[in-house]
Amino acid sequence: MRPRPAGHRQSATVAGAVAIALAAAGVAAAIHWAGAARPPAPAPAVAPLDAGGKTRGRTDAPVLIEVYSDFLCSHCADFAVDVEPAIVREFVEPGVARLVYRHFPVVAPESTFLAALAECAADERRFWGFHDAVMRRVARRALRGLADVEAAAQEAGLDFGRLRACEPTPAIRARVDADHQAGERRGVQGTPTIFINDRRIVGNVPIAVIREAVGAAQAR
Amino acid sequence: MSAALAGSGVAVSAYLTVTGLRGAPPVCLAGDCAAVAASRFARFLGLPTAFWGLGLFLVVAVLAVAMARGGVRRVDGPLVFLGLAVFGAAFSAYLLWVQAAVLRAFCAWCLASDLLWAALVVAAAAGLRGR
Repeated sequence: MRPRPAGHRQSATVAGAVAIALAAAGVAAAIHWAGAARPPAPAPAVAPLDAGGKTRGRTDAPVLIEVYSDFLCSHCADFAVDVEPAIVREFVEPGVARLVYRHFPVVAPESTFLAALAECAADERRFWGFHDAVMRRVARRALRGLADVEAAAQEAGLDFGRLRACEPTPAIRARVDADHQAGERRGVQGTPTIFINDRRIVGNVPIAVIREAVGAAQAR
Repeated sequence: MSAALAGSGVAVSAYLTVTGLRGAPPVCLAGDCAAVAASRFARFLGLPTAFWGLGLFLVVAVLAVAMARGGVRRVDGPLVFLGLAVFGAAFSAYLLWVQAAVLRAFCAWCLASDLLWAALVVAAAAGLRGR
């Protein structure tokens, strides 16, 4: 039997390498597709929605929008200032969705301090006023110190001295921790992370992404 | 040339990996990067999909540099290079299909990565032909 020329052997080797690479890419794509197509695990139980007044919207709204956020995260502040008002206008006020704030303090130790202050504000039914006042300052890069936090509290109609006294109490810190731990169990890795029913959206996404996800949640 | 292409791929995928890990949408020069980055296809085995691209681009970049310096002796460098480039390009083609057919949104960074993989396949084929 005549040996095949070297050129043929090389062509066969190259064809074999290409075939192996294509097969490996096919396997990788199949794994990727299967992972993306798999329905997300059911959300574990988290704190009751009406706890602490961190909910906006009707309790019977069919869509639940939860925002895991950090008061010192600039992307969270941009989301709160640019996107949340549109969520409230388009989905919360018409009764389509409830908006819930969840603490996920990761940026700095002061993140937990601010989250605890917000929990205290929630006990006085002024969570959203405090939230909006703080987030506006963070979005403008104007939250530089305690005086700015105090100004935000006063803007929300809160007594900052009372807030400071409330903030370190174990019950308040436990509520912040409960949100954080629930977020970790649900796979939150960064802020902001938004859950629309069981669908997770990561980042300061435009309102168009939220619209699409709310529409999909309503269709299910 | 191949090292420069792979290095560009490292830069693009590193940026997408960092934004993916930080949970922020990439700055979008064209297309709808936020929609793509927020989709369920943006993660693979618990990490940003771009992270795996970064790993592959890094391997290809190291191999390209090693081949340019004549430092690959124990394996057929150009053949391995072609195999990795074809793998990257084929997986990129799959992701391009996901953007077009499933998400109906395109991310300019992802398209740049796709083009780099295609260029790497051409460079790898040219390298094999030239030896």
